[in-house]
This record gives sequence, structure tokens and C-alpha cells, in this order.
Amino acid sequence: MVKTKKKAGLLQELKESIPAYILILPTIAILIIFLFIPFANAFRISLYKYKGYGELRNFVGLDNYVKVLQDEQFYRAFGNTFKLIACDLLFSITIGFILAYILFKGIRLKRFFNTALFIPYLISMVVIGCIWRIIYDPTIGPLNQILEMIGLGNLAQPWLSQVGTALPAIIVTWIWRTIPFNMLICYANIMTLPKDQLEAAEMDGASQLQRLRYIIIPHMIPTFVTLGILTVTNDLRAFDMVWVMTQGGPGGASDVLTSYVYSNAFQSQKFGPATAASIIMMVVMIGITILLQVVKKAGGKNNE
Amino acid sequence: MSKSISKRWNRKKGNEDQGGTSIITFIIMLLVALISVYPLLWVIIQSFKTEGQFLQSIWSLPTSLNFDNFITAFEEANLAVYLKNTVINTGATLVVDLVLVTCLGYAFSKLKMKFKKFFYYMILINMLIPTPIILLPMYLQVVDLGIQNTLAAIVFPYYQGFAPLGLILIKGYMDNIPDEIIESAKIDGCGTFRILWKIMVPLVKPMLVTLAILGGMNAWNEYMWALVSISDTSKYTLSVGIAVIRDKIATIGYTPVFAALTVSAMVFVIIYLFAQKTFVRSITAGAVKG
Repeated sequence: MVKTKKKAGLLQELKESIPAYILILPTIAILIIFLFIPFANAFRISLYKYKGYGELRNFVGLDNYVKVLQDEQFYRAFGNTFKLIACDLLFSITIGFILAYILFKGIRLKRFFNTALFIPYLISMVVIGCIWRIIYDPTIGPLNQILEMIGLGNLAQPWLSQVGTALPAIIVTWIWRTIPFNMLICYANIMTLPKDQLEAAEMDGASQLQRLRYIIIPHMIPTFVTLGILTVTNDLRAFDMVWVMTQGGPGGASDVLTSYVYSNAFQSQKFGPATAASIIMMVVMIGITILLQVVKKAGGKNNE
Repeated sequence: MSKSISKRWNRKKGNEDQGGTSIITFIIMLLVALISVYPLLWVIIQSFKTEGQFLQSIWSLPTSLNFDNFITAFEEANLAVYLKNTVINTGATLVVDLVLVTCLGYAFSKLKMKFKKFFYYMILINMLIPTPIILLPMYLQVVDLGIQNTLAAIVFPYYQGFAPLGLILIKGYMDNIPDEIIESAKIDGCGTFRILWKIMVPLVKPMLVTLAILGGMNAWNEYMWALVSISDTSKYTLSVGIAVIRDKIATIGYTPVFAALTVSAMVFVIIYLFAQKTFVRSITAGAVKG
């Protein structure tokens, strides 16, 4: 008796849910076809030797994972990705905050600066990659010509085709592109600082640096954490700019995780190892995301 | 909240003291602004020069406004085709993005749904899956379905990537709309779908603009999937095409490439200059919730 009642209740609930189900059905269908089935297939492919066409026949178990974990280039790409993330966290967020702070304090031509400083963010990574590839060009590139003009001609070099300079050159461009975003978000959050708090501190004779140190920066910590999370998740996926500027070269010197996966799959036709590498990458990403969320929660508690 | 932020960002005169910074800070800021703007400005200047003028000096200004490079880029280098494809792809993606995300938001925010949590996380889990993983299997799927090089092979994967952020944003927005509005419409005899179309859509218009900017930027700039999935060169998007044009320097010369880069770069710069407020609001919203 009770059971049938429960059953009827569930049926009733499902019936009432029909309009909602109709509305979400297209999305769920698209996700099944273009996300969940491919995702499941990725795990299958990672267990096979596969050239990118035909049936999956050559089962190799976990060999692909072993291959990736033994590939020095994989660790290099990993290291490069983390160098990118570290530099981005350190420089991009710091510079973004300093710019936001200067705008917050007030400056002549503020409207001009607001617009001008934001420009790099409006250009796509691909176009920026193309533009900066020309800027770094050894002969017609403005960078080398400027160096020669100011008497530092001996520093002029083929930035993107040298093992030592390719990655740093990309990182500089990357930071150039990400600063405006960090600046905008910092600015938005600095503006939510209660004015009377700052005024009170000023009346108590707190110097500018003291105000920055004891009021503004503590107020900004949650913002920095959010920007940190966005930076990490964004940079782990870095591909467009790297691919356009160097394709991970020369000799894999500027490979990041995604370009490593891409070139293994679509250039070397090693789809098994490439997919295995991307799954390892996902595990790392999820691990980092969980870690960051824990840090964020802990940070939030300390702040209260 | 984000609205007031964008207002402050765009306010012509801050009520902070304008001379609050020293002359040194001001000069440093000018330098930073120069570094931000100059690369693009340099590209634009080159695009109006002739190849000879450019090769002679990369610092000279064009002697006259010459549009030859743009003509070469559009016609010989197929920029017109790439641009057209990108407009179509982005337009179609936006329609799908906005319609389906609005449906999602309404269903999750206002309707009774059994297993709501399950479906919600089913959509959000996408955020944890990096694109490279599904790149190859999704490509195989598209080939299997026989839709390679069609609009569907672009639009649905783009929507798939956009759905989680779109859902979070529009659900948050709809949650703030009081249920009483819907209840009273129900009493007046409006059906679920009529309420969605007649009442909810007009109410969430500002959020739809935000979503259009975020989804539009995604679709317009996307590179990796377009690179993998499009094999027909006449279907190339601007992102893929611009890299192709760049590699043609040897045959068409530098200055048409600069023209192509100028066109590609200016699209969002122009939209930004005209709709700064909306733009800033959208990006702030996308970041805070994402």
C-alpha cells in the first residue's frame, strides 16, 4: 500500500516535470552526442594503438599511459605549462592590480587609460600570436629594430626560433594579453571597498602605503584567489597562441600540455598516447581545481 | 552589482581627486598604455603602406590612404570567405546558445523537476573536461554522423562548451525574478511555454546581451576545434584562415597580411568602443561566476 503510494508519487512528480524535461532535452541530447559519448570513447582509445581511422583493434592495455609517462617531452610540456602559470600568476595579477589601484586612486586622462589598457584583451589569441610573431621576427620585427636603435643591437636575436628564448617570448606575450582582464576584475572589486573605511584610516593618519597594506590588499584577497583560479584553469588549456607562434618549437622547447597532445595526435598520428596524455592532464586539472577550491574555502574562513 | 561596477568604470570623471598621482606615475602609465596599444597601432599603420614602403622602413607612416592591401587580403587571400564563414558560424551559434540556455535557465530556476540536481551537475561537469581529451573522439563522431564541414559540426560543439557558463549566469539571474510574477501569469491562464516567451525573456534581456557577448567572443575566436574539424578550405573560419594568410607572406607580401590582421583584430575593438559599458559588465559577470 505504502509502496504503491510512493510509486504514484514518483510518477506524479515525473509527470509534473515534463515541461522542464522538454526544455532541457535538446541540451542533454547535444551533450550526450558531443560530450559524453566522445568522452567515453577517449578512455577506450587510450587503451589502443590507433592511427585515427578504422576500427579499434590493437588493444595495448595501459601501454599508452606508460609511454607517455616515460616520454621526456611530456614532462617538458608539463614544466613549460607550469612556468607559464607561475609567471602569469606572479606578473599578470600583480601588474593588473597595480594598474587598477592607480586608476582607482585617480589619474588624469582616466577614461583614455581605461580604454587603452584594455585593448589587448579584445584581440583573439590567434591574431595576437600572428602579430607578436612578426614583432619578434629577426629581420623586419620591431623588437630587434628598437634594440638596435637604442644601442642594444647585440641583444637582437631570433627570439622564437631559439630554444632558450622561445618560451619566455611566448610568456611575455601571454602576460601582455592577460593583464587587462586581471586589471578589470581588480578594479571592479577595489571599487566595492567601503569609502568611509578608507577615510577613517586617513583621518587616523595612516599613510598611503599603510592604507594599501592594511585595508586595500586584505580586501582584495578573495579577488586574487578567484583570479588565481581563473588563471590556472585558463593557462592549463593554453593552445592558440603557442600554436600560432611556434607550434611548440623549436624542437619542442615551447611545448605546453595542449600543444603536446595536439601534435602527438594530429601530426604524429599517435592517437593512443595523445589521448592517454590528455586524460592524465585532466586528472591533474581536476586535482588542482579541487585543491584550489579547498584553499579558497580555507582562505574565506580566515577572512571572516 | 556588476552593473554599478561598469558604471563606475565608464564614468567620465571619477570623484576621486584627479591629481592624486604623481607625474612619474603618469608617465609610467603612458608608457604602459603605449605598450598596450602600439602593437595593434603598428599593424594598422603598416596595412595602409605599400610593400615597398614597408620594406624600406617599418617605422614610416603611409604617404596616402591606400586600400590595395585590403583588396588583396579580401580577394586573393580569401579573407572575405573566412569572414563570411565566421559571421555565419557565430550567428548560428548565438541563436542556439541563447535559445537553449534560456530554456535551461527557466527549467532549472522556475520549474518543478525531478532529479534536478543530477541534471544540473550533468551539464556543469563539462567544466572539468579539457577540450583536448574529446578533440579526437568528437572529430570521429562528427565524421560518423556525416556532418563534417557543416554548420552543425561547429554550432553544437560550441554550444556544448558554452552551456555550463551560460546556465550558471542565466539561472542566477532568473533566481532573482520573484516567483509571484509567474504565479499570477499562471492564474491568468498562461501556459509554461507562453510564460517563458512572454514574461521571462523580456525580463532577462540584459542577461541575454551579456550571454551574447560572451558566447559571441567564444565562437568568433575559437581555434582548436575549427582547426581539427574543418577540412574544406572554403569553410575555414577567420581564426584558422588568418594563420593560413600569415603563412602566405612569401607569395602575397607582408602588407596584405597586415591588412588581414587589422580586420580580424578590429572587430571586437570597435564593438568595445561603441558598447564599452555592456562589454565590461559582460566580462565582469563571466569572470565572477565562472
